[in-house]
Amino acid sequence: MKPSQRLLVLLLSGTTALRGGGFFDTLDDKTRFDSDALGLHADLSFMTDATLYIPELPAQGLVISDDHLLFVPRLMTFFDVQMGDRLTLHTQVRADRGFDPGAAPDGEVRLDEYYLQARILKDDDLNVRVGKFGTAFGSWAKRSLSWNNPFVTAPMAYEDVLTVSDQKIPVSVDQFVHRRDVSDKKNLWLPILWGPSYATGLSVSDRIDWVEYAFEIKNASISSSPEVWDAAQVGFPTNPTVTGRVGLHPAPEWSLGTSVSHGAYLQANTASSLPIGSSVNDFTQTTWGIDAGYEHGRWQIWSELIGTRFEVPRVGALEAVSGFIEAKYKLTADLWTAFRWNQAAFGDVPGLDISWDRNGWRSDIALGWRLSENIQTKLQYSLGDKSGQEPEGNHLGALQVVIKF
Amino acid sequence: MKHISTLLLVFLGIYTLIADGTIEGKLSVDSMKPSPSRPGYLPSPTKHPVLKPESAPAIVYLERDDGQYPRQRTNETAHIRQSGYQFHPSMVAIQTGAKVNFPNLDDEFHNVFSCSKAKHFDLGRFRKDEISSDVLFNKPGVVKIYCEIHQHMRCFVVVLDTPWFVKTDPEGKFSLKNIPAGDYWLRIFQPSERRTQERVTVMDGQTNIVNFTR
Repeated sequence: MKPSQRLLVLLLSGTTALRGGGFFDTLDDKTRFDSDALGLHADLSFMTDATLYIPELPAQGLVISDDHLLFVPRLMTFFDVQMGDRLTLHTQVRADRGFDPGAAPDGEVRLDEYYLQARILKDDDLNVRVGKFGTAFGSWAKRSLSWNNPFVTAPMAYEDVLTVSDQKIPVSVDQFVHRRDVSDKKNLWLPILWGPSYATGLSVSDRIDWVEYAFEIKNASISSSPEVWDAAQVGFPTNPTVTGRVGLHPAPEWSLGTSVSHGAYLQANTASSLPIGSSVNDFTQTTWGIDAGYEHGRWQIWSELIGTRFEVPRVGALEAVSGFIEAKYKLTADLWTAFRWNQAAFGDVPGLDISWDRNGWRSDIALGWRLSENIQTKLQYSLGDKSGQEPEGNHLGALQVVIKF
Repeated sequence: MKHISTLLLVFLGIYTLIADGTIEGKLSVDSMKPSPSRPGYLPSPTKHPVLKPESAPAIVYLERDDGQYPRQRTNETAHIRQSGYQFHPSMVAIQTGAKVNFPNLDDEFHNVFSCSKAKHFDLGRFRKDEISSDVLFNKPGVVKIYCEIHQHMRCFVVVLDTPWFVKTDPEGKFSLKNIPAGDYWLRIFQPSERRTQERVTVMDGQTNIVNFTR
């Protein structure tokens, strides 16, 4: 047994032993500061997960591994400060093997989120947020943390790598078309949305009775990779991405939303590879989406349909549609199961009778066990297929333990 | 003959009331620990403002060494409302075998659940005025109850084998009446989960005053 597997077994047995105790409650109490006199409340909280991926190679989605086993431990540290009634500060630091599993095999520490949020009016939920935070697009980003996600992986729209790149500009249409026949270059190519897209910018959000909205202006496209999310490191572009979502809650059971996003997606260092007379600002990603959710009793159901259009240098406008429907059902007080159907379809390359990427589907099934209010484990199996040759493995298994305190 | 029987029953009833003892007293009630944090999230936006949690009472109860108790309160059903995104009351005591109902008075969903050793349950998402099933508590112990959606919400159900228990009033005063004579442990469960106990003797027709100091 490898050390990583031993560690996972140890963690599983350790968490089972800890399930009944108030250990995590006590720990949580020790990392909190409250002063009503100062109007200051600070809380340091943690979430840790350990995940064992068992992919058929090349691995699906954004799992980056040359091995049939990939062990990814992660520690997330959250620091929240409430200053008075209206001002809040939030940071999220992660230590792991890369934002995407296996992206940094030797480990790294990142500041994934930091923002200051102000409630503008005393009796209203109008909030202005400045910093680095998850996208307003769609409904998945809000439940992307491992504790809230019924699965281990993200829906296909948020992690299935396409043949569009923000770093490698195709020199010809033929060269671009050839990409669909090779394995995904996960360090160069982009999905429609890159996970929760913690890019940097400013947002305005509000909730008025049963209507909510959020609009944001950010430094990176929703498909951009984590390397360009932090404006403190890469700067703010002249053509930022504007994203908005309007949501409705006509009844407690229902949530409906529509989202739009538009902005340049190429990295600044590609300028010298672009056709003469064009700039990175000429090549944009425009995305629309609708989302619907239903929950009642033991059921929670979410679905999204997302369409996107990339303007690709020397190729033209490329369109794709990706969607998923996901259901979680509580079998007992402790056990739940979840199923997700994902599907993606691609338009033709302009002037050619060939789709620019491979149409595909993926079904995910998960079984979860809530051991206590602080600990849960998940087991996932994914089966997927894409048309044509075999650009990636059809199977993925994953086991995850999550602890929050 | 009928009149004699009636008189006898009335006499026995009065005798029982006089014969059983009472324990009264006062204690300092502490407060609940802060709500558990929700890593990575500030409180989720709610349609209406979140009310401050109400101060919880302490539970005072009597237990015998032999662990044998009459099952006189197992038919009771306690009600814990969800209102203003808080549980009301935030602490209840019931006898083992009794039930608790969780009506939702808020305009949004709640999802009441517990992973405590004494009781695992999950009521799922249920809306305002929707009838949620009664939860049977058939094992003694302290059951911590949460809302899966609003993680600041929590309350306690203290499940006891003994039927002799009472909640303190806001000043910390308590009175346990109609207790059969004998030796007992007078135990206290505080909102902070701190427990204290004292040996007491109940005598027929007498009131025993027990005051606790911190």
